[in-house]
Amino acid sequence: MTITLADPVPAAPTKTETRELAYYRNLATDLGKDLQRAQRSLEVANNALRRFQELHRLGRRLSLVTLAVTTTDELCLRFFELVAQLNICSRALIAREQTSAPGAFAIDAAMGFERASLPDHFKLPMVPEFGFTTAADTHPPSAAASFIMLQRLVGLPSILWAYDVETGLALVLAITPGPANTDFQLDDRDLATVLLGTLLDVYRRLQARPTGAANAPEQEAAASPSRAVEPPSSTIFRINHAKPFITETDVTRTAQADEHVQHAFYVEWDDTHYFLFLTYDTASGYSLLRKWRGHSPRTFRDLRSMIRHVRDSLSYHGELTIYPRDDARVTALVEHARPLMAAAANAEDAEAEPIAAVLQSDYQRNGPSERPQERPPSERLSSTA
Amino acid sequence: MKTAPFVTGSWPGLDISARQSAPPGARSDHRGVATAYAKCADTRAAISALAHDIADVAPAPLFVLLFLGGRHDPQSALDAMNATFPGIPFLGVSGTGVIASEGFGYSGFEAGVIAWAGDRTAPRLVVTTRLAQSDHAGGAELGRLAKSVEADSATVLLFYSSVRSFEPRELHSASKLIDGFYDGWDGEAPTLIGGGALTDLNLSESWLLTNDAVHRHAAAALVFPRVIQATTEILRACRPASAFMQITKLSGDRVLELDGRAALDEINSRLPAPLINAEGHPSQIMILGKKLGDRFGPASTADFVNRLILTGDPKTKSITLFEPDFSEGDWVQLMSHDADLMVDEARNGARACRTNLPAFRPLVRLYIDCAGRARVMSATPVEEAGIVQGELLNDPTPLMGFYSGVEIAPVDYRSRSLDWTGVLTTLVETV
Repeated sequence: MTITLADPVPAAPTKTETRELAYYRNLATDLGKDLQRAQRSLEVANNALRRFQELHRLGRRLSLVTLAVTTTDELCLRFFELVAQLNICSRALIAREQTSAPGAFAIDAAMGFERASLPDHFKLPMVPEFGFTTAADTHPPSAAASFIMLQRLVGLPSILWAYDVETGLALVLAITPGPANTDFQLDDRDLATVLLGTLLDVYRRLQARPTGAANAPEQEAAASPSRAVEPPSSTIFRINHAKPFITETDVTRTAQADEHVQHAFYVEWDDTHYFLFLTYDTASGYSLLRKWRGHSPRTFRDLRSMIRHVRDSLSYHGELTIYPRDDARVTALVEHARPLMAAAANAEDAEAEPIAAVLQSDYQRNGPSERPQERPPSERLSSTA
Repeated sequence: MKTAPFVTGSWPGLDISARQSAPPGARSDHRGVATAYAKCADTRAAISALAHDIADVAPAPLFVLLFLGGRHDPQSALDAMNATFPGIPFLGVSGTGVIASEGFGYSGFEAGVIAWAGDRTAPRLVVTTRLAQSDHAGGAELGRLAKSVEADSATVLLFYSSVRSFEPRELHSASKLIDGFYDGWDGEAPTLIGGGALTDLNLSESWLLTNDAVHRHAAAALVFPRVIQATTEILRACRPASAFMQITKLSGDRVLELDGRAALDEINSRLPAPLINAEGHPSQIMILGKKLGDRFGPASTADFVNRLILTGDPKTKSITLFEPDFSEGDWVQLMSHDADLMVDEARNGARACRTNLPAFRPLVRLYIDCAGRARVMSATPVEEAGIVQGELLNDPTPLMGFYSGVEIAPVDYRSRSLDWTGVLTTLVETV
């Protein structure tokens, strides 16, 4: 006789086993979340690393590929080729602001367009030094109308804009964002600076070639930014006639509304007096910075306080340039603000301690070995800014 | 105004460059298989460079397989291929990028080629253009055609255009294509290895080229003679990150319920942040994995079939998977992609493929690499394709491949469609 044993019937889980199962399931969920968080942190760090490495590599490769170019045509071709190969954008424009028409740009070269689809010129209502627009954000917000115009022009939704105030050269990069795309962001200012800076460097190098040099055709000058060739005209920095002066209070209020200084520079009145001009819209012109209250312009006496003020108080992190007051580029501004600037400089001199002025001038004449005695920071601040 | 003749596309910022240039044709040798790699925005120039580099070994190839970055214009590529390789059968496959012994990248301007010069090892090409109607029917047609040209083939390379439509986003199903192929073959089927063509990381488009046309809803099979076999390493990148969940309601590639709850709610309860962001896109790469074999047994990464969660619908609370091959009742886990694991598997897999070749004569290595594994997507500290390339740099067998959508490789006794993997296959000639 054969006895067949039935399969044992699995016992129902005990209350303890059920609780234990629930405990481990919850634990798995919590550990899974922790793993996701850790992975996310790692991704953020790795992406930042990648971004840094790419920017470094971009600068190096741009320098290499543009090293041997001899014409602006060749420069544009090499530049676009590299930009495309590195997937920085899918469409790009190099444009040049017309000296006689602020905000009006002539398109020098384009990538990713059908030739017939682009006009020769376009005009922007507001010209920021740097900016971008995406589906989620536009920076600076005051340039929204300009970016809408650029979106229509290039036919893609995400735009990065870089503009050199001095030469009028502008670079437009455009992409279509998607799940895999890193859309343009504020950090891309570095990218814009590298790209536009390289273009400007090579443009200037080509300008510096003697006429008739090898591979430098006569039409070269016509194809390159005119303002880089000719002595810059006084129209580059125009006074904002609607608002020739701006107080620091206004600057603070504007910053609270998420509007930021687009460009700022100093005018050197004399050895010890510097005045700051700034703009929120280069097409509208520049305003002279005044103190919080009253009508006196803000003056600066040393580089450190100038930089600290413009970075911390004005939250301006762009390029800073000092122009002598007889520089042709700032003539219009100086002429307009001359009475106020002169009065402010005279008043400052009258208030300044004579001994400090002597020591400062001695220091400048004799160098660091005869460094003047430092005044307390509070005293230095009160006399300079 | 001057315009540069680049086609438009849409890519994120990234930068990959060739690690090391091999001399033209140096990777090709007496085996009668030649490979070449180029990176150039000018499609005609790129293809011309490829032809030049394979000319020593394969001056008159019998068949040419072209992998072409998706920023190349397909019609220009077709014209250039016919002009460069007149009368020679070829298949062109668009890829997000190309991976080769000499270099790799996913700018979309890369190009790579494998040319077979020997009759004994060259594949036969069959194509179906029926995917627009049905992926399964197209696969079945392809299976029948493949069997008709080489009934005892042991190895078939299968490529297909991945994108059915961009808006709304729909993909051709590799799993249905494979099922169809096996049904059409009807018998002891060969090993299928391959991948889905793409043109970019945004899944915008995909195409195949044959001598007569550019195909956008097509699949192609390279059917090899019996002497050609394949050994494959599957490089993975995901590990479990949750307890099991059971699929309780499903419709094709859309998972509606998990454990009886709305799928998106159930997924979100297991994540530190919601899966779908305010813009309606996935906020992170997330994958569902189905464990093969004993659910509670020991497991390695190779025991999971993983499906990328393509998107989620906050209205219906459903999630959409990359492939529609999960079923109601399946037990799945959330899988987290792990950058370190990806790098380790790339290194170990590349080393393993050099050693697991007893008594075979390796001809060429194919690396079909999920585009999602690119550094720009996976946020790895290094490019895993670079690790594979680096490990095989001094190996005499040439490496060629592309960044794909879905990968196809044998898992658990049959070929399957895979997500987020690198399929490293060595085509060998049996001796």
